[in-house]
Amino acid sequence: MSIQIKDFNFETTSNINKVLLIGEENKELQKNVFPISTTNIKKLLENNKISVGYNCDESSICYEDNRAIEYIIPIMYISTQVQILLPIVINLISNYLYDLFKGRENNNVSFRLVIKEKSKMIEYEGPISGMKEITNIIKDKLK
Amino acid sequence: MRNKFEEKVRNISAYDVFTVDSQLQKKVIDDLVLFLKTIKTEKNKAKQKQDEKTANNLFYMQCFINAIRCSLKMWIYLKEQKYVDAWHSLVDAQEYMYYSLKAGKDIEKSKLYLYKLKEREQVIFPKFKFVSSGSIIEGGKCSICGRDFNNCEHIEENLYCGSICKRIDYKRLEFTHLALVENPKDRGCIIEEFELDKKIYDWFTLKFKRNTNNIKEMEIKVCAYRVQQLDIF
Repeated sequence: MSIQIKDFNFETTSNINKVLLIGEENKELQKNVFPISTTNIKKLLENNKISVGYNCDESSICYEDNRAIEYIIPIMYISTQVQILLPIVINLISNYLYDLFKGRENNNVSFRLVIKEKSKMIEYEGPISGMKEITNIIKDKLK
Repeated sequence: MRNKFEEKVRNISAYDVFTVDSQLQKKVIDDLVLFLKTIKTEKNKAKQKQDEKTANNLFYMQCFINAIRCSLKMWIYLKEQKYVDAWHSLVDAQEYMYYSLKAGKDIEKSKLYLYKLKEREQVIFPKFKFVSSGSIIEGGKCSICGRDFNNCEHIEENLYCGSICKRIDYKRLEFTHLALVENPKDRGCIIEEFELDKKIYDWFTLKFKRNTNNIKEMEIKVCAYRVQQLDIF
């Protein structure tokens, strides 16, 4: 399990959504590329009344599928109520992944989280079981 | 239906071994295909009534029967020395069992059969090098509601009233790269032939297949992508 915290500056004018999913601009494709999990993560949060948006126009989105068992979650930017929202988001995602990987030996997940108030990016790579500890670790490290 | 299923699984277990005659195993597969039709007819009735519990129970049976069907196919392919097909059948059987767990029914029974399949994998097949193909995808429809996948509420790989949700009918599917990986999404994607000293060998049998004229690059034969058509809808 690895958790890294890095400086990250991200500016957005959008304050409508509590969570913003950040893609990577690919000039060759002229698209914004997101991991294939993106739509599912968006639906998962929206089904639980958390408003989610993209950092780009929806029509410019395409998805990258690496077909590895490791589950790659799009970069998530949490703009508001981090203390409340973060545990909910992590809980929802880890429960979904627990069901997704049920019975399988490998259940690694990789995700990056940006917290606006702190201008930090948290990178997590490891088993689903470690995800729920992230909230506490982040709380300590970002004090 | 439940009793019929239990009886079927009990009776078939005797055929789910290597030494049983292939023709007999094929007959059992035919019988299972018929039984699957009955299960799915019942499941559709439950779906129409929006009886999620019954539909999910029937989905569990559907997956379990499909797993046994694939396992029987694996034995037949092994006897025919069609090792790639045998491996794919085993991987499919395992996938069906993972899906059966989603129904939350008889989890211990499913885990036991999964364990059996894992044991077979370790005893029968060599250790593989897996490949994973990267691709760019756009669009697609939801297998549950048929709407644009980006604009419905269904989440991929979740079980909805006896059917698994998948993104289907992509608008764009473009392969970008191929990578050697430890843990691929599809364990059916393996190196089937490899090169050593300008000679090509079969990964399963280690038998020499042919010489290679390729001087600059190493030659391998892989299964890069499988259009999986698992019966999970």
